[in-house]
Amino acid sequence: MKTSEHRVPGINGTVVFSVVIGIVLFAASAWAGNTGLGIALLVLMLAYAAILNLRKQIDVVQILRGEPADERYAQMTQRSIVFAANVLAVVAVAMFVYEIAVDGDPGPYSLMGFVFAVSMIVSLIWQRNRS
Amino acid sequence: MDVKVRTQVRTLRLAAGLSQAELALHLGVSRQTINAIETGKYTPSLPLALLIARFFRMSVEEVFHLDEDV
Repeated sequence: MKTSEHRVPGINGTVVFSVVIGIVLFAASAWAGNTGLGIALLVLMLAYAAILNLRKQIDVVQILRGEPADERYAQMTQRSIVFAANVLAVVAVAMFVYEIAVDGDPGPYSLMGFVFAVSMIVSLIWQRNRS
Repeated sequence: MDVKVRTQVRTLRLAAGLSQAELALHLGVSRQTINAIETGKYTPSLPLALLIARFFRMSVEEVFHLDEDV
């Protein structure tokens, strides 16, 4: 019986992925003519990769770099995702109202709210049928 | 329902002469998780509680109990 639930890419894969994303962001920004933003994003991702590369036994760093995954780490990750999703939902609704008040057009925020709500309902139905 | 669970893991681990890291290795979890269980910050799942009890050759009730039972 194992209580660890999943394995995600290890330290090397996660660090390399972060650096690659930084390079892609830099390239995209440079392509759009905004090299300054590209450099800032690259530095940000390199700093993130450096933090992930810390060898110290710090819970948050271990979770972010995907090792090891035991049940407590999985619970922390799930709760953090829920928290972040709630923040996103509040921001989307607030911006939806703001855009309507200012421009009369909700822009992308109506779509964000719609996708969030539909995903939530579909997931609830799915989880209900599984448990 | 907010029920506090007390544990004897720290006492049992020290009696067995094990470090948190060694116990964690036996159970397949992180050292921080063992520390969180011992300090009451984290209540393990039923499978992990069973594994811990089995490791110390005890019943789950001997290792974990509700706060009201103290």
